Amino acid sequence: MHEMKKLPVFLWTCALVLLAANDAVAEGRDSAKIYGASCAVCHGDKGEGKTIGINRFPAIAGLQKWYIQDQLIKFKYDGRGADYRDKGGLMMHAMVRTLKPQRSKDLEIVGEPEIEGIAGYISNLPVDNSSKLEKESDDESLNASIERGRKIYTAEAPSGCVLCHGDKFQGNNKEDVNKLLPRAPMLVPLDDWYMLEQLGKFREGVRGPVADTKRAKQLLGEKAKLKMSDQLDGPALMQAMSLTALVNKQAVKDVVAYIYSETHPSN
Amino acid sequence: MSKSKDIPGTTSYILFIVTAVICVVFAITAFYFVFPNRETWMVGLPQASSYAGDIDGLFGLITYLVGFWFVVSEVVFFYFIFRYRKKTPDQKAEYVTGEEHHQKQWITIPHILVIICDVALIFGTVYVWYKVKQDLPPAQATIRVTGQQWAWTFQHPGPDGQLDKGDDDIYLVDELHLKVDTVYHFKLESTDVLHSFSIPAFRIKQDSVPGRTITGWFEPTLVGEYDIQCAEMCGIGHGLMKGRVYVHAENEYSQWLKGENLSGATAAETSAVALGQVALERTSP
Repeated sequence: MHEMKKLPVFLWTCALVLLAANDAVAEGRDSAKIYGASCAVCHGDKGEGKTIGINRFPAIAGLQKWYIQDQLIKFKYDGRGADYRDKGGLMMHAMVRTLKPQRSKDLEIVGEPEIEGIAGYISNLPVDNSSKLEKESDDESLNASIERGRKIYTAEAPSGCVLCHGDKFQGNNKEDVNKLLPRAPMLVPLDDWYMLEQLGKFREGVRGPVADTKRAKQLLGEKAKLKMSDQLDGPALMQAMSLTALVNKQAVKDVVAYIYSETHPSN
Repeated sequence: MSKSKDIPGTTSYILFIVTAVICVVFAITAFYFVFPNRETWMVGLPQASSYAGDIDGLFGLITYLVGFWFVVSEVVFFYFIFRYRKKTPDQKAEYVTGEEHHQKQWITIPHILVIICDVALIFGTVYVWYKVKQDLPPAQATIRVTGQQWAWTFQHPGPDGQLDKGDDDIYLVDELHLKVDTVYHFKLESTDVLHSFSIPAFRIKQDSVPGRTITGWFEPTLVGEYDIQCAEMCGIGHGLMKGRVYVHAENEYSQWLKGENLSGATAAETSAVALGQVALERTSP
């Protein structure tokens, strides 16, 4: 009978311990574990990119932390991947919801610590372009001229890619409002198929400026809360560049062929 | 000795009372939620389409019939446990072969009654299946629903009310806008794997299959905002493949339509402005 009295106490203790453990896990999820659970399935254990069936997922290892953070927030708040033509973006649009926001007592979103953590983790993954033995889109790059691409990339202001993405494809981490140079991602780890795809999306308006819509206002509101608001709208400028500097699809292929030949010399 | 003699009888008596109380509480709770408000029949889920009531009616028919037989069988079961409990310490269980006529009746009579209930269920099922899946009432509007890993794309007819005519169709991701009391046909497609288009408030669930266009219908009857979900495992992001359906009153729907057409033009305009800015400012001395 005495033993029986102990049973409820034991069960309640177990329940409380489990609840406490659950809270601890929810509050401080490890970025490496989040990456392993949510991202590695598609982007690879080392962020090297993957092909699964008909879907290709880009390499992301080593991209700048601010850029990954910015893109993840856009995916989450409909600033990217909310266009029905953006097949890959729609996947990210869904998957980014696994990253939990930080909420106030009134349940308002006050920050995105998991996005910040995962962005830091991915940016610290080493870029390893040597592991890519062959190009994934030879057919698309066919007839591309590396020399023509070099001229487009290194052209002087206002149109050269080099202005923002750098002569070593390292990107630009600080915006210059006077020169109208926004922050820009590095191109070193990017696959050729991915660059072709994204440039196409900029040209078609699938990616680009966030228009004056209800969603955009929400996005800008969230970004302001997260203190991430750049003065220059980088994607708007990128779309402008993709339509002016790259006059046609051939120019897109040329510039991608040039970038890829420089960033992936072993291929 | 007399104490140990009482224990089996007392235990089964308590067990019987506890079971009876649980059954009564369950029945009262179920009836409390079922009868007062038909609109929130299933745990607060409104009946927001013309055939939601039929689906719920069928669901209710199954629940009541099966529930009735469950209660009857449990009552008989526990009554027998109580009635034929161990009454003396040296009493042993008796093996009953069930070959006597009066024993067989305990099987045959419930069996016939259950079959009669099954026939009632089959009639109800065929009626609802025909109404929801076989009969296709004339469409007042048509939408296209496309599932892909892991989003729903909805193609709405523009101001002309016609799908795939002109360039005024409205494409939205994870967001469906409908006009109340309008019969919609939907063209359901998938670009990659199997998905299932489900709006619980409409009581609709239809698989989408790559390579096929499946036509179905619904008529929203209740203004409001409801969940859309994928109800077929479709990959790692399946649980995140959700959306919202907005059922508008007629005047609200017209306003929404106007709003979508206005915002559609701004992306190109913003791009053009940015384009001009870059060209001007980067080349200025």
